[in-house]
Amino acid sequence: MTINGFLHPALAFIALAMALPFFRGKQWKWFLLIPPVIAIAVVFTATLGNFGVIPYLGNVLVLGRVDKLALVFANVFAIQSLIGMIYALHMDDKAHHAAAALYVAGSFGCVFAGDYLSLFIFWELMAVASTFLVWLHRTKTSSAAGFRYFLFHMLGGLFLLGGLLLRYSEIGTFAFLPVDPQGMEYYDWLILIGFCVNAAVVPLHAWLPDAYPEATIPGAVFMCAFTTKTAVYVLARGFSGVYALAVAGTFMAVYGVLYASMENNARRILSYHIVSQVGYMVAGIGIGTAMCINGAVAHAYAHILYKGLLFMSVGTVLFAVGTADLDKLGGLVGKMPVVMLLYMVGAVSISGMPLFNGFVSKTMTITGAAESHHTLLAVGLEIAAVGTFLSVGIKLPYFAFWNKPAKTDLKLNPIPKNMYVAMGIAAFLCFAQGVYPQMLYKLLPFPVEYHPYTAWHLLQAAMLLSFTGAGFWLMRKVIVPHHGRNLDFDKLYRFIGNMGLLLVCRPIAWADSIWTTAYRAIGLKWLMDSAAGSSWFDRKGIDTVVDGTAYTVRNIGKTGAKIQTGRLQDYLGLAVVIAFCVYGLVWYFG
Amino acid sequence: MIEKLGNWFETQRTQNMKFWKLLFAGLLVVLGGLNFFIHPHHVEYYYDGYPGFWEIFALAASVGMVFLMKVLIQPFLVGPEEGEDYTEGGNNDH
Repeated sequence: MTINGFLHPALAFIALAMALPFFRGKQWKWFLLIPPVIAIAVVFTATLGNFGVIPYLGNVLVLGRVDKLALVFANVFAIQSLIGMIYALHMDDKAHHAAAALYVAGSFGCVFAGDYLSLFIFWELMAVASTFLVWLHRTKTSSAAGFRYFLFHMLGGLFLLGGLLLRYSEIGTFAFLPVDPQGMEYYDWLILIGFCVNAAVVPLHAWLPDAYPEATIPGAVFMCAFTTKTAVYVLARGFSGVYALAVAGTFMAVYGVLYASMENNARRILSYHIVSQVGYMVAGIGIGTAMCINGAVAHAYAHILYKGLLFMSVGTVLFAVGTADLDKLGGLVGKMPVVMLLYMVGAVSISGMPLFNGFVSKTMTITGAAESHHTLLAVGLEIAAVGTFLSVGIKLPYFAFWNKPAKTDLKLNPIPKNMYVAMGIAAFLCFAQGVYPQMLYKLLPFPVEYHPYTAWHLLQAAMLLSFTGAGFWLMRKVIVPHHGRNLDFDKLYRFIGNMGLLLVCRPIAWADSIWTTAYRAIGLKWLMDSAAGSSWFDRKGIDTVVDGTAYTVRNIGKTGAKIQTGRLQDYLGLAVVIAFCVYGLVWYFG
Repeated sequence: MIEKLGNWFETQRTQNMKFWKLLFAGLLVVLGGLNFFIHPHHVEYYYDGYPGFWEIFALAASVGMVFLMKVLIQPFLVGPEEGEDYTEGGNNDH
């Protein structure tokens, strides 16, 4: 399983997925934890270098490019895969575990890929496997959302494939290297669009809040960690300094929080906040300074932990109560106090509260934007920070846990212990990174010269959060969630799809109608005439020749039968007649 | 222990809200006061150094965001939900 000394974590997860159907008995679930443990061991012991180099088409495919940037993402992927597997331990559905394992394998494959071709293969593996995490929820809406998710990711994959093949035809290499932001070619833009689909860059984002709330409860925990962050990794790897990303990222950050502020479904609120938080990372990558790249990578790391925790705790509410709609929840704090506390750790982390990991990562990106004189972008990111605390830090817990008394007849489904364990690990890591930022900073690709714990940073964060709380209190009767689905770009996709279908169907229907008429007028008549001709020929030609021959043979046979009487005198008489005839002919012609 | 914790939170929710509101109001005052003494090391935005800027920024952004999205925009965007929730735990009573 090793390639030149480097044990690729993807292999362990693929092996698990292949072995799962053969596991029997009750203890097989412990095997789910082996690949994540192997992955953690690998990322903490890996040496830098290129491994698994395969010659192909005069090029080389590199399956194991191990450098600092790859390792920081692999590090958090390994930890989150362990947390996700623990969270899913109560599930008996082997197909689900296999899909999750292949999905994680795909993300490791992408992170360590040194060339576009192997990146594409693992990229598609992720898309297919994650689709099953939606479909395996086995509801009508999850089937439809999964199909839309799959279609959109195939579209993104085609952009990537088109870009990498055109790039190969132009420059003759698959090597995955950074582009020159000032000299991007058309194929680079195609690849960038493919990456932006997975990064949920607005307006290519709507698959995310459409599909994630429909995924299985543990499936959403996996999905919130890997797809968008793999995209962040490839953007950081290949497209840092592309200014369009800075603008797009800031727009994402604001767009996500705006939508989240009016959403009702808790998992959809968190999904919109993925768009928003990934916006910080995309903006940091687009600005492209060392501090902003560090901020983007640090935020990706922190985000995976706290967003996983948020999806786990909201998933636990969904598991126990049966709904994640805020208008149907309320007063759960008395019944699920530990879940509420664990949720709040994730909520204050994403909001950038001091002592939690969002504070040490998010502020780095914003400060980096401000210090590099991108003032408007920095202000946009600050607005997004306010919106994040407003929705995830206050609105969601307020309406789920605090707002009103819980229903008196509410019966909670017992929560498996493994869910608490997984959430506890994530909460501990969010806190540990917050109080000891070096734990995160030492993993970053560039040296860190940022100090989050200054008096001003602490006061600024406290003021932002507190006065956002005051704003919520003033608007608490306006922000009440309402049942319903808010129109987003997915409706536009469906409209465009339907229009495309219409554009294709209408001409085809018209052509079919013309063809049918023409066929009836010309083709059918010709066919009938040719059939009549064939019939006539059959009767007059074939029948005359074949049947005439048959009749003749039959008549000759009958005549022969009459002649052959079996009496000797008849044969002698006939012989005399024939002899006379022959004699007469010889005499006449001779 | 979990039950005790739940009961304590429930008590705070139902009977101690006044105390928490006062505490929160006090926090706002203290933070606003501290802003007169603690300033950024170097000003990142033009108004960054003025006391009260971030307080007004956060308050205006949160109130404005809710008003914009819930009052002005959502009525034009909202439609029916497409499906129902379902859990692996089997609790589908909602």
